[in-house]
Amino acid sequence: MQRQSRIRSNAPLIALAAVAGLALFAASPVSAAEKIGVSMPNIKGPWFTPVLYGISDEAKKLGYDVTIQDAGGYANVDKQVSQFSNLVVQKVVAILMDPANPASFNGVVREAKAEKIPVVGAGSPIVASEVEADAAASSSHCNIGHELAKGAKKLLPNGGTIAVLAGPPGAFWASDRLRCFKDDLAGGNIKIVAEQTSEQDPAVALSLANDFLQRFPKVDMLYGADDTYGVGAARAVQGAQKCGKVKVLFAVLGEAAEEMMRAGCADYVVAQQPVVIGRTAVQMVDALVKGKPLAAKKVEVPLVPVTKANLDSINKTGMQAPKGWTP
Amino acid sequence: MVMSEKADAAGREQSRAKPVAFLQRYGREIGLPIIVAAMVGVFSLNSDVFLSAPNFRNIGVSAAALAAVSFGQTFAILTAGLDLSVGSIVALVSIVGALTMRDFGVGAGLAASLAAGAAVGLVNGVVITRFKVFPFIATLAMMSIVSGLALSLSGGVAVTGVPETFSNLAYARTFGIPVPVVVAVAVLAICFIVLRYARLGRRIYAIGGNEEAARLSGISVGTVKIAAYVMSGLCAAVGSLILTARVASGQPALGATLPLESVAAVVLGGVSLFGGRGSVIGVAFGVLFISILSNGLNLLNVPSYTQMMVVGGALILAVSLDQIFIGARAGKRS
Repeated sequence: MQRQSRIRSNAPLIALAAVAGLALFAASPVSAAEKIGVSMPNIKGPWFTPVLYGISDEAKKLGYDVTIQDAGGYANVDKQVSQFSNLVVQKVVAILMDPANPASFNGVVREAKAEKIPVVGAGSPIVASEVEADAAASSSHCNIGHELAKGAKKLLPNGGTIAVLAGPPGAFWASDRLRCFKDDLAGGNIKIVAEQTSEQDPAVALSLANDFLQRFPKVDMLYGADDTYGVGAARAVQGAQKCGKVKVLFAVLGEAAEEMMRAGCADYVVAQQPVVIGRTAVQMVDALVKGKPLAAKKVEVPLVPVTKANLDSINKTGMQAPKGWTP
Repeated sequence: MVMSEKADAAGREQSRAKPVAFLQRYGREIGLPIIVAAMVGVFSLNSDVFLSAPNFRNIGVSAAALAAVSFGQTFAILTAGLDLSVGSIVALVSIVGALTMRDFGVGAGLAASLAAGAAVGLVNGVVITRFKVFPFIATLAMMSIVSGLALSLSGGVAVTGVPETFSNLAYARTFGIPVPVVVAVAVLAICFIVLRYARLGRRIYAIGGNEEAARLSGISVGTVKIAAYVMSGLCAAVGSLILTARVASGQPALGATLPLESVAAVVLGGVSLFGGRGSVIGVAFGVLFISILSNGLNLLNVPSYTQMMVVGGALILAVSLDQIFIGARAGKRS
């Protein structure tokens, strides 16, 4: 009883100690190296992990510390904007970013420019809709759409129907890819019969693809905006025992995508090179910080179309982080 | 000699008992401000930039929208309810406001935004009181409906073309204080006055404390609850305007994390989830706690996954403390 009363009376002190302890426990040692800030809408998954690996590894080689800010999802634009402001306050030497939505970042990117902090696109050619990036390394989302359209035409030379897993609602990268994909297919004999946006979650993509297969049992192809959607689609096709009969195409070659391709359930992947994108972006930052001229202000890292035929022969070091690496 | 020793011991016991009694009586109210102050100290010692004016402005701007939404959430929770639809209200208001401002100007956009927020709050209130749907279910369902409406209105893409006179406000300052912070403080003042001095506020506390007693004393419970949800919707609309100005566009997925963050801020601020107890000033400290913790951990380069664990742990700690103090007070009364 007495002991309980003592605990109660000391509760604020316990709380105080706990919070201080948590903060100190969580704190990482401050290093003297110059710091590069990284602002991402998300840091998990087969796209962001290799981008961050490329950034972290290249920064280490060039002697920079890296501060990564994760907004926790494309829906959290406001959070990413706040985190970007945090990086400006920290007076990092440069900010690498992939904006959840470039229209939202004009104000904060102007603030960074006012503080003379270069802002470099890492995975996105633009950082804000009205303010130009100091440099950018990316693959064009529209070109990904064009490449996906080429893949669709190769897989369905006699035409057919496609159901589209369009990506997260409101994500500009997904809408850009799909817009250019549709432009190339317009007027041809390949028709889109269904199109849905959804959360960027493999389980949600799987159930959406299952619904498509139920609703359109004769559909010829499933389109995935990236490999979260593509792998979900491939697993749905596998579950329906339709591998090879219903073609699956998507962007980004992660480990799960590779596995599905080996199983014959993913047919065409437009692979980006996220590790190369991350490395290139850091090299650009280094040049900007040291006042060296840039070879090009915007570098477009080439896309690699992958099918089961060339899966083993392509170099994947630019596409995937080493196994087990986490940001 | 023996008497004197006894008197000394009693005196020592009494002097020790005074601070203990004080903590038992006011610990819940002063605990969070002390913790916030301690956090500021810890982060100041560990980060070069934490204790700087630009960083505090940054914290203020980041916290402003959460603050407005949380002050509104306080009304719902004080009635022993909950408003999970605040995030989708923020998204809908962002789209409605951006579309209206683009076509009819800032004044019309502001009016449409507040009207949209109040309308969703009104529907929430009506569904809860007239159709007898639990607040959790009613607002969960409204979250889905309103979110779908925001996506439909915008076609799933951002609405651009928001007038600069509006979007620049997010970066403007009045006497060195960012305008979003001024707006949040104004919302705090209004909510404080309504809850403390207005008839509506007293009735909200009465209903949250004992709904049946409130009904028997002649309070129109349904009307007061509807008013509480309208206030929640209005405050969410103000939060949305702050965020929309900050991101200079209408975003159909804006405010996705606000339902949980606002409930966390309200609970951390000492408002009882069972209703009838707590103050909006405490909620302001709850908002500060979340915002400062997040900012400080970011400045210390703590990985985001660790941050999630720290914030969750802090929430459990706060609720446990609440229970400890409730127990302490109940024990003292008995």
